[in-house]
Amino acid sequence: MKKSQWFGLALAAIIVVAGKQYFREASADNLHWLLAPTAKCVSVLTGTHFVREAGVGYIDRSVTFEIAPVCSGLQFMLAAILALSIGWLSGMQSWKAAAKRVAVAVGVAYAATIVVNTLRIAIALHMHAHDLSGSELHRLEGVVVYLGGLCALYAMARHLDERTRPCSTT
Amino acid sequence: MLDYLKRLAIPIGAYLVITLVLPAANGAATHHEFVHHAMWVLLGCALVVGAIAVFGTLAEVSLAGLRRLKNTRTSSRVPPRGQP
Repeated sequence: MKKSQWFGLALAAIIVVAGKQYFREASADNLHWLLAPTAKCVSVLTGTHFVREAGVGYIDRSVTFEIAPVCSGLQFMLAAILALSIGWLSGMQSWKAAAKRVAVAVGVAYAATIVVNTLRIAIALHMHAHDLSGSELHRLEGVVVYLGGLCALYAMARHLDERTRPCSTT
Repeated sequence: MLDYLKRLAIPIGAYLVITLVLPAANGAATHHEFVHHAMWVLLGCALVVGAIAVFGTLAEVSLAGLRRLKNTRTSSRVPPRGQP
């Protein structure tokens, strides 16, 4: 493995460890950058009206549902950054390319987090409306949607990477 | 099945690092709740891998069938020129 690839991997690892540390101490207000677009997308998709409640997150009292900091999807975003950075290692042939790919991985992971988390919360809302909202079921639904989303994102990213990579001349 | 596991090893590994390995490294493994959480994470992983393997195999079989239908040749042997 090249030094630039190690650099890309180290960069991704630093982001992930720092992100985990940030997540442990983050409040709803700190996670506004993730919770706000998610709440907006969930409201549009499901016809609900989530409003911000300081220190709590986003709440829709009519459906008795809360989008709390723990539902922000930051863990998914960190896993996506890690998976995309590893998946794109072969393209990190220079320091600049490595930094660029990790930066793109962060951007793609952020967008994917909003999409997958919106889907997860929409399903959870549907389950809640049909009295299928036990904590274990909610947890399992989260794991399945997040992991399924991560596998799909990784497959798409690899596919795009292989299509856009210039052909090697022999 | 092994082929699917190989293809999905990176996203699954990344997910497990974030949800289980890093919390365990931070001392969460001693909590009873963590074992419970790990059990649900692993169950979810098994469900996703199983679903992808089943649907992936079905898609591959369907695509292979479609390719066979598209191929209009009825014989694999091509007669030499001038022969019917």
